[in-house]
Amino acid sequence: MILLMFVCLAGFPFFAGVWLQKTMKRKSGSQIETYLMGVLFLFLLQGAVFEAGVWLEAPFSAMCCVFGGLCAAVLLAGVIAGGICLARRRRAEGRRSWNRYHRRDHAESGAGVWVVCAVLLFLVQAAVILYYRPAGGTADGMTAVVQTTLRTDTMYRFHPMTGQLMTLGMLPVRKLVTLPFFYGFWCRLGGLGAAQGVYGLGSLAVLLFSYLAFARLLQTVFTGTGAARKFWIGLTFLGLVWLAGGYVLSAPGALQLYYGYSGRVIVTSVLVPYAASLLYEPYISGGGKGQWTEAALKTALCFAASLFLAPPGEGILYLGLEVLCMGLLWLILEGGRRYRCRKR
Amino acid sequence: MQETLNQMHQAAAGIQPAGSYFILFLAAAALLLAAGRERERFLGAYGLACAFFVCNPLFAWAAARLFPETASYVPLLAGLPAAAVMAAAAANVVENGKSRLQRFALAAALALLLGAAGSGYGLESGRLGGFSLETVPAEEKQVLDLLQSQGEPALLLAADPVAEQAREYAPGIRLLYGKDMWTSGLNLGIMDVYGEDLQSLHESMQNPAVCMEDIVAVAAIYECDAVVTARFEGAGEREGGYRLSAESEHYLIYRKEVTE
Repeated sequence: MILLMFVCLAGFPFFAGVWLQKTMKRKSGSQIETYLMGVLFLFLLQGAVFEAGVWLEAPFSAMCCVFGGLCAAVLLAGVIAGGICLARRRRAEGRRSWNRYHRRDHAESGAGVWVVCAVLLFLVQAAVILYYRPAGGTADGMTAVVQTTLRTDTMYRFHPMTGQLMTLGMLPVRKLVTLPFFYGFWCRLGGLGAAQGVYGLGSLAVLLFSYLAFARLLQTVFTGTGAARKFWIGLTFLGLVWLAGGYVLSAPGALQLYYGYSGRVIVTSVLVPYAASLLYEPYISGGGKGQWTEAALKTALCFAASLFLAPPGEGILYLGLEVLCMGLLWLILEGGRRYRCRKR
Repeated sequence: MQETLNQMHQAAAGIQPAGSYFILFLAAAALLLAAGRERERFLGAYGLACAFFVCNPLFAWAAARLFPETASYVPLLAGLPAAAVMAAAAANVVENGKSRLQRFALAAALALLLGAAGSGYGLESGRLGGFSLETVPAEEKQVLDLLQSQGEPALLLAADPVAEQAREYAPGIRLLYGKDMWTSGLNLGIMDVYGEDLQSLHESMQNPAVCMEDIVAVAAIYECDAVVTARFEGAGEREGGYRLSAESEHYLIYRKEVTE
């Protein structure tokens, strides 16, 4: 069941991304970009729906129905939009020529072995996530909140560590975090236990999302000849970096593998590389006004999504620091460029 | 001033364990800067900018003052594009191989280097290992099953390991206090705080052999239906208004006596 839910959770962002691309009438970019747009949309949608539920004190089951209904509508719209697009492309190019083009492209890049290596490393990490736990890494706050939410059908009204009704409640800033309800929705949908949903399904999904976010960054960096091979070698080494540092608590690899479900890790390993790649692209390619606007808008949406995933000190702060660094680097490079121009 | 310096020293100590990885990261960034292609140079420079502006004790100290929950500063390294920098640099190095064999040899050598850096990271922080196959805390679960089979208590006072697992394995049972009592609130942002009486009760629970009388007295005030304590010498069949109803290797389960 956990794998079935993973397929659903991993499949949704792609169709949501396709729907968004078609709705915004954008020329289709890379499939990774489409997927990541869907991921961002998913995080924002869950935040908006469950946040409304928290402040309206609505039952969790009702908000699950609303969120599920919206997801189903977007999924259907994405499938239809994608189907129409594919049919048009096939009609224009012909099925055989399309396949042949891709086969040739793949063979020329010589990336086959590296694709296998990267996929195998991903599978190893998925196995680690499903079967290993760090010592003392169970029974944390996230699982308790999910469990209490599922049990009481309320959101942030019962104390997650005792099961008693809270009298003073929670800090408003912490009430912004809706990630536990997102996990609760998938647990409810698949009939999973809270621990399975959080440690298994959540971490697996975040691992996939983070691979794709880093893949987008690598895609932006490598262009020209041999780019496909470099891209896959880069992904293979990304897996090695995670695994090599994966056996020490608090190391990036360990966070990725064993605490992937937490909002902080989602922000640092999905939103940060995604935002970095968004801001990196227009600067490096000297993009026009439209490209800058789109990058700025998506980065702003990353900030908004981080609010629903982690408290500000672990979400917006991390993301803000990375964006600040990018800004500082731009200033330094632009300053250097102008200085050189003036000197000439 | 001295306190500020101490806090900054603490922040530096938080970053220190990433030593061997950090060196590798710097080497990777240097390789990218030397690559000669603008896109790769930019990534290398971005990585270094993050390391210089963000990953330093001064910033760690300032961030921790602004957002107290940023105490665990080291994980910020995960947010740095360190992984992307290392991966891109490795891809560049491997791509320099003339033949397929050379490329694989380079990849294997770099993988070993990464593994060694990871080990150094672990040895440096003295926390190498510590991972195991997921184990269900069998005895705690057995205690919770016993409690449920005897009729689920409405309110339970339990020893720390049992209370820790109760929310996962027996979510229907309400606890007098939870894990957040001894793990600094778990950063859940809950404004309800435990009173001094419950805090001293938690301390008493650490030594039931001496404090059992106080434990059952407070439990009776709060109308707990059951009390689970660690096994201790001289435990009686009856303690206050509670009767020993079951026991396991390390725990004793007392239930409230029903008076006619």
